[in-house]
Amino acid sequence: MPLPTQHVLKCNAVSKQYDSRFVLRDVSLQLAPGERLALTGPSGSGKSTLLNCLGGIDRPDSGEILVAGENLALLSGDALATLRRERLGNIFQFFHLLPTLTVRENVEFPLLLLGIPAPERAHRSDALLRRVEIAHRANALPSTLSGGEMQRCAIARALVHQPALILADEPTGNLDSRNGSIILELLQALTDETTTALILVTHSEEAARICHRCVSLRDGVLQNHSA
Amino acid sequence: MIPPTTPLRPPASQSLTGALLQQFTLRHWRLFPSRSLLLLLLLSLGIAVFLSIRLANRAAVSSFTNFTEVLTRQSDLILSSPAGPLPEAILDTLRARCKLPQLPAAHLEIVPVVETICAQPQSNEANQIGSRSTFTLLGVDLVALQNFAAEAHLDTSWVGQKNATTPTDTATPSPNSLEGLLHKNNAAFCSSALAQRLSLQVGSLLPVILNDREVQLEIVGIIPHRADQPTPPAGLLVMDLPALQTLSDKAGLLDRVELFFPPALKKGPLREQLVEQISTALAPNINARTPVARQAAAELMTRGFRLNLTILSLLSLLVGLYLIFQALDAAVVRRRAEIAILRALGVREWEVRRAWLWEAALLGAGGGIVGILGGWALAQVAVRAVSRTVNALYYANNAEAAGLHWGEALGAFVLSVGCSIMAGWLPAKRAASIPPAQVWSQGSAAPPQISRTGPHLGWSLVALAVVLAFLPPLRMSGGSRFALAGYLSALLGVVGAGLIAEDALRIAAWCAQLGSKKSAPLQLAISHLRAPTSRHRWAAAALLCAVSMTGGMAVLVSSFEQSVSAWITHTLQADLFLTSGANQAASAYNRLPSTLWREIIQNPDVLDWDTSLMIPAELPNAQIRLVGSSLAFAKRHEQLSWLQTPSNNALFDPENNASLCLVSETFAIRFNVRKNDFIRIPTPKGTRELQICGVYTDYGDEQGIVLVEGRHLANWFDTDAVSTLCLSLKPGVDAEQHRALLQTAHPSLSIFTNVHLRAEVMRIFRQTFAITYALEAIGVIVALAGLGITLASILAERKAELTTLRALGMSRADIAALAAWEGCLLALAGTVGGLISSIGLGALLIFVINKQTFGWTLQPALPWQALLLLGFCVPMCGTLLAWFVGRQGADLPADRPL
Repeated sequence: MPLPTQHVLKCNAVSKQYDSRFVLRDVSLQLAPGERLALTGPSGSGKSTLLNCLGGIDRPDSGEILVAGENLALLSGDALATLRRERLGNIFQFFHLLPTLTVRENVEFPLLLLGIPAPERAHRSDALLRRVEIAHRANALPSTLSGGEMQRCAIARALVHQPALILADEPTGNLDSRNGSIILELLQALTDETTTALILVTHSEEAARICHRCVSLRDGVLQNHSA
Repeated sequence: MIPPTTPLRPPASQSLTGALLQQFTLRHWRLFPSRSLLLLLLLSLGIAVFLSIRLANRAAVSSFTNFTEVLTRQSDLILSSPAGPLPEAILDTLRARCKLPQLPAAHLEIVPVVETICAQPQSNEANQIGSRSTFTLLGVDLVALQNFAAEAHLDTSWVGQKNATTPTDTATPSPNSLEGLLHKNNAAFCSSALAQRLSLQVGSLLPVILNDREVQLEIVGIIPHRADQPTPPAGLLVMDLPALQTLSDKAGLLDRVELFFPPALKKGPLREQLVEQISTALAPNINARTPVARQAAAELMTRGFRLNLTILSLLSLLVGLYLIFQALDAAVVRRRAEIAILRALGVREWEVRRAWLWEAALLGAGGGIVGILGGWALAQVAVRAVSRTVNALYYANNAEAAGLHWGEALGAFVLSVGCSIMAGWLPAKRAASIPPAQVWSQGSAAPPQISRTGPHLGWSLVALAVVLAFLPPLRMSGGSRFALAGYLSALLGVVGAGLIAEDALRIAAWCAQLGSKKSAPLQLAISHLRAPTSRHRWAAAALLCAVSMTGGMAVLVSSFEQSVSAWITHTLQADLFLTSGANQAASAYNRLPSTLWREIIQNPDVLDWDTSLMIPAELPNAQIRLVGSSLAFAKRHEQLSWLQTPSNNALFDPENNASLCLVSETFAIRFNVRKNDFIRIPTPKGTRELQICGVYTDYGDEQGIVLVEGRHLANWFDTDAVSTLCLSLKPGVDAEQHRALLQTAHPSLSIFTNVHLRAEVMRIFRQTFAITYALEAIGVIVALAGLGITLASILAERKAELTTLRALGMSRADIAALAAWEGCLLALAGTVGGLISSIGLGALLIFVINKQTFGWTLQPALPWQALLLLGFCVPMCGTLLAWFVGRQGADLPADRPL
């Protein structure tokens, strides 16, 4: 399927430093709808900082980030929160499911933030839970799930509100290889079915293989681009 | 070559504990100084409140000193009559018959004393009971005192001080010399504290009211404070014995006689022999006891009141200790990973536990030290409130400042440290038992624990509390009772209700679920309360306990107020009430002479009248009051509220009621007597046996009253003076105008209209409970602060979750709303549970503890307004506090201003 031309993400000359030490230096990046980008690099290279800046959780010192056409630098804290709830999805290495909510409630939660009525929330979340094959654990608390089940739940939560962009921070880093492969297949399939773009921070070559492009960060500088 | 190894020796456990404290505990304190400081301050507030009440109580009790000690040091024996004064003839008996043949040269010092209360004249028109300064007038034989002082090496140089204008010519006897003073009937010495307070100096005139008249006392000397003698109290005035006997209408009478034994007879069998000889020589109805026993009797009198205050003051301490527990428990959760690493590195379980207990002890020590300083400062405020209440209910005292008693301070410090260690015990155990593998598999956050142990234990404790409420009180000497089972019932009930708070949280979550469909913050808050963490449970429990105790006290006070209000409506029916202006305290027994009250009742506007004579009396180890008034008048005006109605009509006939009496409810309960029983009361004309014809309620006295016909009491005590006079005026006569006329004619009297006296009774009632309200308010404030700390700690533990929520698109306002909902539901659960529990606690206080301690039957009343206010304010404060905490708790770097 050809990718649409309008960019979901545009990142121009983004720099960030802590204590006079550059963590990101002149990072520029673009992402089209439905495109999957693997972001690799050694520990401390600035991957998480870049992901935080792209997700509006942190602000760069200079440069410009546009998500779905919105310049993050011009948005207030509350406007950034609105952007995150409407346009972004997050998947974390340690899952970060809300421990007191059931699996279904976790998946419904982004829809609740958007004010979607309860019946539609239930319909959409149930459909996704079936899709990621954990519908039978819908009423379980996260503490009773296995790592693979937790990450499936997290993927469903990240996709349920049909965001423009998913930021996945080492989603297989805390899983065994079998579960890791299943999660990557799911991510590939689900993003193929929609126009949701994906930035996948990973150390794994297998994970990088499901992406259309791969970039590497070293000492805050984008080193190479590969298809 | 590999060098020979030396056997590994474990480090000394003390040094390891020190290292753990230094490198972990103290470092955490340094990293979060405001959190540690707040916790320490809250604990110190609890200790300060507790200590301040103890110091204020001690000051009020110490003010009941034997004033003679200031002049003579402590006597060896005090002789007094169980009711009324002693005749002066007792001195001759003592001198003639109290000698030991083995020590013929031993000289027994006999110091006769007259003691009375006088007051400053009215300085404004307020005419409030207790508003005038009162003084204790002590009459001693100054000549004998000088001689005694010379022998005992005491400083009495203040007798015979000269003022600035006194000529120094020694040839002319100074008017202020001892010889000169003996000729004055108004010469008085005052304590240096009183001189300073009223700017008195030698030669000043001090007007005071004594019985029905104003007397100008001339200050002829100032009693200094010597380091080797007791501090002269601020309200002390000393006069020569005959002068005070004349002024106070006690000619030929003494209030007590103090005996000083020679040094050889201070201890041992010879002393016992002398005491035996004295007792034999005296009439059988004269009491002989040591000053220590006399002080103990005063302490006994106020024990119930002081105990209640102490228990109330423990509320803040309990909440403070809960905070220690909560903070240490929270720290266990926060530092799970750190503890797991330590355990993995080889630190043993008991070493971890000991480090945590040391942390608790350090917190307790810090809180104790700050609390002692704060307690001493607070005591200076509390002592006035306690002193006012003791004045109104028990005996005159002028306690205005509370000293820092080192024994009490040490006790508070030990309590602080000991209770902190107790509060830290469970967290220490939890810390020590953390399995490293489990922590590493679950991350640093503890999984929610769902257990029904707390509520089950809570219901069991409540059931036990109900059983305890039916047990009788412990009976102690003097007829006083201690509601041990009642207090235990209250404690178990409140603790049990606290444990049930977990269910209240679930109910609150269930109720809120109905309205949570559209609000993400509310739904999240509910999800946290469906499976509450231990911190949620403890926060709700603490709030429930505080609200329960505050509400319970409000129920008690409201019931008390309603009962007192109904009682005074029933009892105070005359139009005017007259008494001596010097009767400002419960122990002041100034009287109106018969010439005066007979003149007043002759006024043509007077329709009906009654007099009342009140005399303190002593049954074995117990103070009571004998009251004499017209029983027919009481029946005519239906003044008494009956608990056991008299059936013998002879009771109301003065010709036939000389052996009949009524007793107050407190007397009946205290001495376990009822209608038709016989009691024996002491009088100067011998012991009289009286039959109880009925029992009535009296909320104005907790010692117990025996009410007899006024004319018989006057005859037994050989007096025609009275304590109070009540007048019913003819229809159409304006009571206030009549009062004003009487007041002008008799400025030394306190004269109240019916309306004014009722208002005064209610004012004193509310003033008595003022300190109770203050203690309750502090308890609730500490509990609310605890709620704030708890929520801050809960949110800090959930930092990762909050960041996830922010990543999912929740704004700061959403997080604040989440915290506010959580705080609101938590506070609501604690408050509603507390209010329900407060009704049970209120019933326990009314029907069990109050009844067993004070002997008053109270009509239960629910203070709806106060309870609703509590029910609104606590959740409101909890919500606001939580919103503020939530607002601070979830900042992201991207939130900084653009």
